[in-house]
Amino acid sequence: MTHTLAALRLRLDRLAQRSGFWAVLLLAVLAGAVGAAIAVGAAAVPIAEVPAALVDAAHPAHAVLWQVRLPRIALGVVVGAALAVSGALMQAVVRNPLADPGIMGVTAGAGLGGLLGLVLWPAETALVPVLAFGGGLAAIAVVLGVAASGTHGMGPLRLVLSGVAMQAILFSLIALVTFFFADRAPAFVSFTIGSLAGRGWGDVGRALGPALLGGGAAMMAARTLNLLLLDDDSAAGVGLPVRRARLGASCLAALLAASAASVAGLVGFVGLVVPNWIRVTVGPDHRVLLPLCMLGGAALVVAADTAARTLAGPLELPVGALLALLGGPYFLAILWRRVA
Amino acid sequence: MTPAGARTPRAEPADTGAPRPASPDTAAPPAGPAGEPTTAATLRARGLHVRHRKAEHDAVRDLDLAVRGGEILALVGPNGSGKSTALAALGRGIAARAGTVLLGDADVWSRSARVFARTVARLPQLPEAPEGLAVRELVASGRHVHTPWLGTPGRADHLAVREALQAVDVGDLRGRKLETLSGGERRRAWLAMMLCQQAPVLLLDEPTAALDLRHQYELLAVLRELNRTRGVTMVVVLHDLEHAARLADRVAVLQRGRLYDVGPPAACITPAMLRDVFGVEARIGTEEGRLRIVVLGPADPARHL
Repeated sequence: MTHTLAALRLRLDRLAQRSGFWAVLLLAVLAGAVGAAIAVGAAAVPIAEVPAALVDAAHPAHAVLWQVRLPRIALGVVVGAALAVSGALMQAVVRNPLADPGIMGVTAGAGLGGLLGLVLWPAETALVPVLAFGGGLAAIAVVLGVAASGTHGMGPLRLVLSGVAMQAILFSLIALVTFFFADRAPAFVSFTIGSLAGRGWGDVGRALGPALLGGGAAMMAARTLNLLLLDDDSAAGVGLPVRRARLGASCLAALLAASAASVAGLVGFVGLVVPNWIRVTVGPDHRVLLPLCMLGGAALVVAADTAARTLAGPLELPVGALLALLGGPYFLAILWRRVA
Repeated sequence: MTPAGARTPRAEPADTGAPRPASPDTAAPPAGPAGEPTTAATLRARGLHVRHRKAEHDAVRDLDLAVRGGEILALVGPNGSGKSTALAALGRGIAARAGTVLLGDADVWSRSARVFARTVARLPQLPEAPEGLAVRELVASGRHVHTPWLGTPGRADHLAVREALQAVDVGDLRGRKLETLSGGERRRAWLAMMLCQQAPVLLLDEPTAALDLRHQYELLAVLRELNRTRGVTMVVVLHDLEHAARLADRVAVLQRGRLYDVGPPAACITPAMLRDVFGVEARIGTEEGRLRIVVLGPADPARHL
């Protein structure tokens, strides 16, 4: 009896080490989060009626599901996956688990870029994601440049401090722009607290393109990203053009963060928390880490958004605020545990 | 600036970087770990000046040094003499301010990092890997230069990884996480990564630093063995002159970024050199056929104490 138990435990241990197990688990969690997100809300739809409501155009909940909840869920999936992969990329670029598109100012840079596009050329909606990408890339370039200027390379302290300073500058610029162009930028008033409320299929479409591009390219570069985790000299020693690889990964991270920020505002800490959790369970190999980050990030944002719009009753909390409540303490806990 | 005792490096007209004639030590034809013959391309520094970012002086000055195919060349010198910088410059880890480093006939910077790394592998003094990486995964990173960008590792890669693990005797550790290994085991795992790259030229920065006695000598033996059986060319920065004498065919002594002397260990490691370069009075003898250095004290007590 104890023998079979021990054997079973061993098998479970092996299973837990296998990435396939985690992929299935995260898929199940994502499916659960999506199911809950469809069913609950201001107009509750019993789970049993969901399939009927989805296909039957005459069902009273049909329109709500297709025009409100499903685009919102799809957006949560895209934003969550993009942010988690963006975080994993940035953590590889700086070889530090504290990196995150929010903390490093990329999201704020993307926000400012998109905002400028909205207020300066309101007619050119196609320009918004481009400017958001440019803003995010500029922010990460400045932060990395300052952080790497020390004689001892990019320490976590320099990194976080330059990110914080960058964020402060960008937030004040965002505040100034929204102040002077209050009439033209109503959607951006709530930018600094990210939200998925009131978004439609159009927003999903806008975020999906760059997210797919960035996510696909990141997956193709997974082996290169693994080498980036070695120190610079070792990575160069095995034949990696380190600067170019780091620049490429930064561009992808900025693209992904910008795709999320241009539709959902500043949703923080997904990029910090998800890759860290997943790295602990499956290790640092990006070929496994990145796809699991997509699943985990999507599940986290969809679940958090569902919680945000139901917890406080008819009131909707912005999902960004809820995630910050989750992620802030997590960030502090990492700092607490780390020696340097 | 030139110290009184400095002398010009021994003239070596034959020092053209060509493979030296086979000596009894290197009778076996040069071959990579997979049995492919290695190219005879060697590294050569010409009038090399290197300066670190935000530094006021050159760390390496006017260095002329040719590595011969199939040899082990040790770079020695006191702290700050530029030996690590010289090694990095040879391996295109830091750009020259003036002068060139050639691999064969071409400037090392004329090729891509990837192509260069097929011929020259470089291991820094304190390599860092992410937490949670298994030995096998680390070693497999050495295959980067042999795997196409979108390709997956194939049979040849797995074979090379296994061979490299065996060559430094860490096969049993392949599933272990790097952070659970002892310092000596970890150093050998990194060495396996480097071997797996199958480059005919290896650059190593203080491979014995921070290892205990047994592991130091084990590592030296592994390097010597690789050189003898596979004809791998090595340039090794070493702090310990007795290690250098034991391991190297030739020793290059650096002093304040300049080449003070280069030649066989017995010819270079002399009381005069130790006084000039390291600032110590020492007696040099042999014991059990090995060079033995007995340091008597600082050469100029008033200056050093």
